[in-house]
Amino acid sequence: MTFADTAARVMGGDSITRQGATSLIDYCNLPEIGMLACHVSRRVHPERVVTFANGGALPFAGRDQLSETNPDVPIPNSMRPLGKDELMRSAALLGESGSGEITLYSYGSRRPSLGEWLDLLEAITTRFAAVAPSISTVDIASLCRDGQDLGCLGELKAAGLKGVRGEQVGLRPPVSPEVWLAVHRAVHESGTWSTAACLPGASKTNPVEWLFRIRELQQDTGLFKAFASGAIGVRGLGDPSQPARPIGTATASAFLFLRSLAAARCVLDNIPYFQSSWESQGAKIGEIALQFGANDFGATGLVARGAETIRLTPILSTDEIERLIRDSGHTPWQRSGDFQRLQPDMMSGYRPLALMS
Amino acid sequence: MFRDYLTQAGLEDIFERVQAEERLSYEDGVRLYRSPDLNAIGFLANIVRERKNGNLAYFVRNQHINYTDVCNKFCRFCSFYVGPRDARGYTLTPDDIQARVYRARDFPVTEIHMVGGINPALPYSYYLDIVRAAKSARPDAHIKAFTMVEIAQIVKCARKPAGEVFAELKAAGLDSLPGGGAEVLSDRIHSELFPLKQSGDEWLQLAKAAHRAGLRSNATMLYGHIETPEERAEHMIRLRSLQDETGGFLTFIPLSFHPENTELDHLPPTTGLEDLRQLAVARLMLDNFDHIKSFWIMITPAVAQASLWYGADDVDGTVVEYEITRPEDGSTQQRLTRESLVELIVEAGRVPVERDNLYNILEEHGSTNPTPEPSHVPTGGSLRILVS
Repeated sequence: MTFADTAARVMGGDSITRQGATSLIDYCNLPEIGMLACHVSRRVHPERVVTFANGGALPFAGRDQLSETNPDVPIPNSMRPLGKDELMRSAALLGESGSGEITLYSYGSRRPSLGEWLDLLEAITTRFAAVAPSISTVDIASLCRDGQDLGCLGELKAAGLKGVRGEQVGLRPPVSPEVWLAVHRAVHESGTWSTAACLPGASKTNPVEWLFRIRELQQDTGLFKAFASGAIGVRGLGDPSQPARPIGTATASAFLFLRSLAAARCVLDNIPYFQSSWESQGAKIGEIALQFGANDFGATGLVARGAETIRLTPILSTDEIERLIRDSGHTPWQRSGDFQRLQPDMMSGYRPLALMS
Repeated sequence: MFRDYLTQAGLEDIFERVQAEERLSYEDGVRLYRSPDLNAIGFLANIVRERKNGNLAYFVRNQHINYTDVCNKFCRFCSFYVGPRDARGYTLTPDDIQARVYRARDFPVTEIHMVGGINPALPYSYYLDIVRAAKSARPDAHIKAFTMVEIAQIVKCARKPAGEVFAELKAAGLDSLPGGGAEVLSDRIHSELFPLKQSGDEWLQLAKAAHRAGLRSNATMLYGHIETPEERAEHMIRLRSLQDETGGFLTFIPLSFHPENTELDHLPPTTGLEDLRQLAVARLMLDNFDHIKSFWIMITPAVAQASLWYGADDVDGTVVEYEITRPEDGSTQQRLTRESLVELIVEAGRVPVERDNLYNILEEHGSTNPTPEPSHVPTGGSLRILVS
């Protein structure tokens, strides 16, 4: 199937086939594939709103790790894992801003125990109802022993877990595609939402097949709230001899990222939000992603500094995110950590004028 | 296939004119600048881009030397200059220039690009000497030096007609002009941002004189500050008119404004969409320019890579030591290796072509992409007005 055949189907409102998706992933003309993705995005979201949130990802360290004095691998200051107390202070700061999302992930040689995760989640959601904590897939998979013991999902939900992030977070090796899918299915069956992603470093996974497996899981459960793209697995998808480029560690090129995002948007028209991935691609490409099917800018990003008096520094301010969204011809709208659009009185200093008038 | 999309974007009539290879008007330019639909504009620009340059993407191995940061023009958008009475300023001697060129001798550089501030203490002989110094240190390299603003200063301190000065610079080793200093060809912006520099009319007159003297040049536009879409479109029209007359412009290079550490630091930086739209609109409006360059050091390598589908056919070069927009913390990337440039281009599905300054092909890498072969491969072009 040629790109022209696929484009005609997409523009006509038909679902895309595996062959059609392959023709998109191999296609180089960015404006053309971008127009297709925009067409799908406008069909799913005709109001042309782009959402964003306060918050970001923060590394969590269990008690064992905090007591480590001589880690084998030096930890960059910006990724220094935070203990429960520091994370609670971070959540308080986000809670004060009205609403926020925290993606928690473990970092370092020792992972927090299930008890420590439960303790932290309960403390955050009890004290700061406006903050929606989620945990990375890698950590959930570890807690579930790669899907062999799913009982913990109910406990995590009861403790306040709002969602599971599908993309690579931090530097831990990604889980296998099979484990990833099993974990997300179980998460959905427990009544918790999650986000989907291109698999980091999944060079042996057919990227089109991967997108269709996500699509099928979404048809079954409907609990993927969003999709975050990196390049799909390998560079030069027509040339399998090229080495894999892991996403999340080495950043995918802008070209591969935008093309992958657009192709995914065309296949996954049953997932409501597509994220700009600006944190891995930079603000300029993050904004351009809004012309390739992304309709959620993601979160401001957080850098936590200090210990006793922790400060959270947004990497991009909400003002800057709004400017970028408006510049791309869309209307910005702040959302909560679990993808609920906030009403104006819930937004700290934020007023979506275009929608209020 | 995309006609409905272009109609919804309000650009169907421009699409028809692009297909018919008709010239776009000032009003078309303003509409394109005002459109937020990046992909519709990019689609149109890519038609022209591939018509002119096929699937090729050019790059050059070059060394930038900024010979002085002393300047008496006090442009409000500039973070590079140091006033003439400020002890922090530097001026490289001809020996320094030679040493810098030697320092990069392990890089297979084919072009040396020299520009600097307007240092009123420098005599005419200095400019001839630094050109000679660079040329003697690397005789096989193409020497591209001096914006039209510097040329105006050189002519002033030479106290000779421009034609004579051009001839002497050429005899010293100057091969072409980089074309900067136009900023935006608008009297309003000239008076608000750079009143001490030459006006737009004067810039165009000097460019015309350079072309008449047999020196080819590029043309630039500094965008993303206080200019309006109308002023950008007017800039395009004025450049296009001069190109009709002389054919002396090789390339158009949009330069994105970097507000940090300037008097205009309250302005936001350009966005990625704005960078790509500027390149695409230039490709559509400047139908008589063979090449549109995406200057990666100003818009990031990532945006430059994407721009190869939004009108750009050139990503500049490996760039050694570019000082003008380098932040104090040194965070801006200063160098891409040849391998990085080739990888960036190949990954985007284009065919990398190493060129010399006049777009003669030095090496073409094999295509790994099934997109159409170039319909026309310019190799240097022709200067319609040579020495008169």
